[in-house]
Amino acid sequence: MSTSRAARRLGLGFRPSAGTDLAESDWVDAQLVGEFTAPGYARFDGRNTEIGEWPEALTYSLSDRMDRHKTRVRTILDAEAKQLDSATLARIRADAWNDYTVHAQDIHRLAHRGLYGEDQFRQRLTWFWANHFTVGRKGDENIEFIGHYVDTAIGGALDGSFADMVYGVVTHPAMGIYLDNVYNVGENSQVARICRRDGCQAGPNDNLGRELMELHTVSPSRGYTEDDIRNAANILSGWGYPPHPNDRPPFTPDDWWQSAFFKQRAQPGGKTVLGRDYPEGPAALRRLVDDLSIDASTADFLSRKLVLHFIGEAATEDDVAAVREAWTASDGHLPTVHRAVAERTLEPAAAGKFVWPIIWLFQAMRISGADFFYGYEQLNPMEEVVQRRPERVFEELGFDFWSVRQPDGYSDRSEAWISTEHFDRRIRFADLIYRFGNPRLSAAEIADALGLSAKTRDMIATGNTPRDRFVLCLCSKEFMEV
Amino acid sequence: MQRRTFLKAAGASAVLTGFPVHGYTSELPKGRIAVLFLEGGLDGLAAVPPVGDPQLERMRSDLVASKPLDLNPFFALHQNLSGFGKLLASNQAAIFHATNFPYIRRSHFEGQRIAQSGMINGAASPTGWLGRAMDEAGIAGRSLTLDTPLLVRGAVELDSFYPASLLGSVNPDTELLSLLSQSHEGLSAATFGTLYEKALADENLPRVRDPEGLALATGRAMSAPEGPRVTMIRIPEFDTHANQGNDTGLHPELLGLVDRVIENFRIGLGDAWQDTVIFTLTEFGRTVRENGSAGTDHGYGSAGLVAGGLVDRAGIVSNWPGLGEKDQFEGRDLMATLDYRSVCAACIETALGLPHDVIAEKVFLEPDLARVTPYVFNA
Repeated sequence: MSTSRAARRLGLGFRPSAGTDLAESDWVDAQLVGEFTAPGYARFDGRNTEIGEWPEALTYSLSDRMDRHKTRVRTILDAEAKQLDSATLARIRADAWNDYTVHAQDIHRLAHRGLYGEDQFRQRLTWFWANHFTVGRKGDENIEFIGHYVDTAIGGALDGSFADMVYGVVTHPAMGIYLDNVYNVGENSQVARICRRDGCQAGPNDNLGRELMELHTVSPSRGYTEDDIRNAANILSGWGYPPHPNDRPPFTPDDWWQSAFFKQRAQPGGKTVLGRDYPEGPAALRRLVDDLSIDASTADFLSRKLVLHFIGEAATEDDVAAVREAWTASDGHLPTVHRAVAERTLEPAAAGKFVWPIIWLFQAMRISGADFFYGYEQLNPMEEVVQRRPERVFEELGFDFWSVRQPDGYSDRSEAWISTEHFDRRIRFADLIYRFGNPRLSAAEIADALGLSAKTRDMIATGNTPRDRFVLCLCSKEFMEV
Repeated sequence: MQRRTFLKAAGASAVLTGFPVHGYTSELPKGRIAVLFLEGGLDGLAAVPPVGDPQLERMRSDLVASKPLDLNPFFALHQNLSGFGKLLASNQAAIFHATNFPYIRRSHFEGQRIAQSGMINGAASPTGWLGRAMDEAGIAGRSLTLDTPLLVRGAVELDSFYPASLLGSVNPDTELLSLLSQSHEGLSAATFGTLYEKALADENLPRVRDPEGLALATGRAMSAPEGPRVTMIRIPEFDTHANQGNDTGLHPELLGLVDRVIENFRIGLGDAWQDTVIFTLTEFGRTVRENGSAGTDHGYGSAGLVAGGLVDRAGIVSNWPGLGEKDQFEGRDLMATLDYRSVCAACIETALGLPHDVIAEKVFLEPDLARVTPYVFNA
C-alpha cells in the first residue's frame, strides 16, 4: 500500500506540500506516540501561508474553565435576583454566554489541527475514542469542559493504557456532568441523610455506572446484573460535583478537580461488582476501572469496534482476533493496540470504508491543498458570505463533539451515513471548497496524487468545468470510500 | 416519486434490481404513517399519570403534574399534551399504557436498536421495521433527519429531509447527480439517484429544521398524491435522570413539543389527516419511583400515544399492572403488560392495508404477535 493511501485509511491524508517519502511502516511508527500538536493561524486571508502555533492564551486549563463557568453562572444568578425585565435578562444571559464560554475557540483549534496537523492518525484515534466515550452537550452545564476533555482525557491518554484513559474519562467534569454522576449521592451518605431530614434532593443516580459497564468497557455481552450496576454507581458516588457560586463553603476549582472525591457524598461501606469486592473510599474506583478494563469482554468489544471503525464492514474475524490478541497480551496498552489496528488496516481490504463526514471533509481539504476555516482572531465574524465557522460546518455535517447527543455516540455503520441529505452536503461542501478554499490541486492532480483508477478518472473527466470535475472527484466512490 | 423508473433508465446495479418489490403493480394503499421516535425513554407515568392509583404520589411526588387533564377517574393527561387531549375528545386519538417492546435490560443502546429493528433476539439487524413495512406495502417514505436511522433502513424508496443551512452553498446540479449515481454502486448509487429525482422534481420545500417546522412541511408533502406515505422524526432528550420537572422542566417541555409536532402534522396533512395515523415510539419507560436527583432512571413499561383520522375508538387501552413495589417489574419499573410491537402492527395494518399476519411474519418476524387493532381502529 502506498503511504498516501495508508494516510487516507488511517489518517486525514497528506497536503500537497507534505513530504510523503517516508515508508509506510516508518510513518505509522511516527504517528503512534508523540506530543500533542496544535497548529493555528490568526486570520484566514484567502490562502494560509503562515501556519503557526495555537496561542497559549486561547488554550484554557481546567481551572480557567471552572472560573469561567462559575463566573457565568454567578452573573446570571445576580441578574435574576434583580428582577429585571425579560429583554434585559435575555441580553445579560447572551452576553455572559459570549464572554465566558470557550467552545468556539476549542472547535477552531480542532479544525486548525485537522487541516494542518501532521499527527493525523493520532487525530483519528482521538476522534474514535472521543466518540467511544461520548460526552454530549448537557444544556448549559458542561459546554466549557468538552474541548478540554477531548484534548486531555482522550487525546492526552493515547500513549498509556486503556484503564488510564477510562479513569481519566470518568473523573473528568465533562463526563461527570454529562452522565449525571455529579448528582450521584450515596443513599447512606452524610449528604443524603441530611437531605432526608431537611427535605432536599440527594440520592443515587446510576447513569454513569451503567454506561461505564455497558458502553465504555465490558458491554452487555459480559452478562451483569442490576446489582452490579448499582454497586458500580455506588463506587462512583461522591466523584465530581458541579461548582455552584452559592456553595458554602465555596469549592475552589482545584478542590473540585484535584481532589474530586467528596466523602460526604459517597456511599459508605464495601461494594461488590461482577463478584469482586471493593473497599469504601476513593481507591475503589481505580480498582474497578482496572478490573473492567482487563476483562476479556472489554478486549473483544473494543477490538470489534476498532476494526469496524478503521477497516469497515469488510473486516474479518482474523482482523478482530489480531487486535484482541494485542489488547490481551499488553493489558490494553493503547499504542500496542493501535499498532495492531494499523497493521490490519493496511492489509489489502475487500472493500473500502465509508468514512464519517468529518473525516471526508478534512481529507477533501487537505488532499486538495485547500484553506477554509476562520482564524483564531475571527471567532465572531460580522458579515459572512461563506460558512467558514467550524462550529457551523460540523453541525451541517451532522458530526460535532459539542452537540447534544446520546451516550452511544455516532454510528460506525456506513448505512447510517448514506442518506440524500448527507449526499447533498458532500456536494455542497466539495463545491464550497473549490470556490472558496483555493485548492492547490485540480481534480486530475488529486487523481494523480491518490492513484485513482482509470474508471474514476474517466468519470471525473466527463465534468464540463474544472469545478464540476473537482466535485465529481471528491464525491467519487473511490474518494468517499477509503 | 418515480425512483424505480429512474433506476431502470440509469442502469441500476444488480443489487437494487434484485430487491423484492411487493404490491407495486396493485393499487397503492391510501393511508399514511408518521412515527415520533422519542429518544431517551418517555416517562409514561409523567405523560399519562394514573392519578387514581394511590401509589403515584407516594412514589414520585415531585414528578406528578399539578393540573393534568382528567381522562377518566383513573388516568389523566399532562396538561402540556392539551392538543392531544382535544383529539382524544373528538375521537381522533388513543393511548396505550404500560407497554413496551419486550426488552428488559434498560440500555438505550440495545433498547433503541430493538425499538428500531423490531428484532428482539439475535445480532444487529441491518434493517428497521418501518423500512420493512414500507417495502411490504410498496410505498415511499421520508426520514426527517440528516442521517438514515435504523428504523427506516432497508426501505427501497426512501429519502431524507433536513435541509442544508450552509452560507454560500448552491443546490446540487442534476447533471452531477446523474453522473455520481451512475458511477457509484449499491445504496450510494440509489441515494444519489433519489437526490437526482428530488432535484428534478424541485418540490420547493421550506428550509426549516425545527421539529414543528419539519412536521408542518412534511404533512403538506405527504398530502400530495405522489408524496411520501411514511415519515419519522426524532425528538431526543427524554433521558431525564435529573430535575425532570412536573409542570415545568425538561420532560414537560418535551411533552409540549410532542403535542405541537402532532398538531403541525395535522395542519400540514389537511384532508389527508383522515387517512393518517401518527404514533410515538420509545426505547423504554422509566422507574416508578423518582431517584435522588428528582429524575427517573431507565425502566421498562411506558405509554404510547396514537393520533390521526384513522383512529376509530378514542380511549386508553391498558391492562394496568399497578404501581406498588410488588406490582413493579423487578421492584422498580412500570411493568409492561402489552407488547408495543402489536400497537405498531395495528397502525401499519390500518394505514397501509397489510394483513396482520403478513406484518407479524414479514415486518416483526414474530408470527404469534398478538393483534390489538380492534381496540382502537375500525377493523
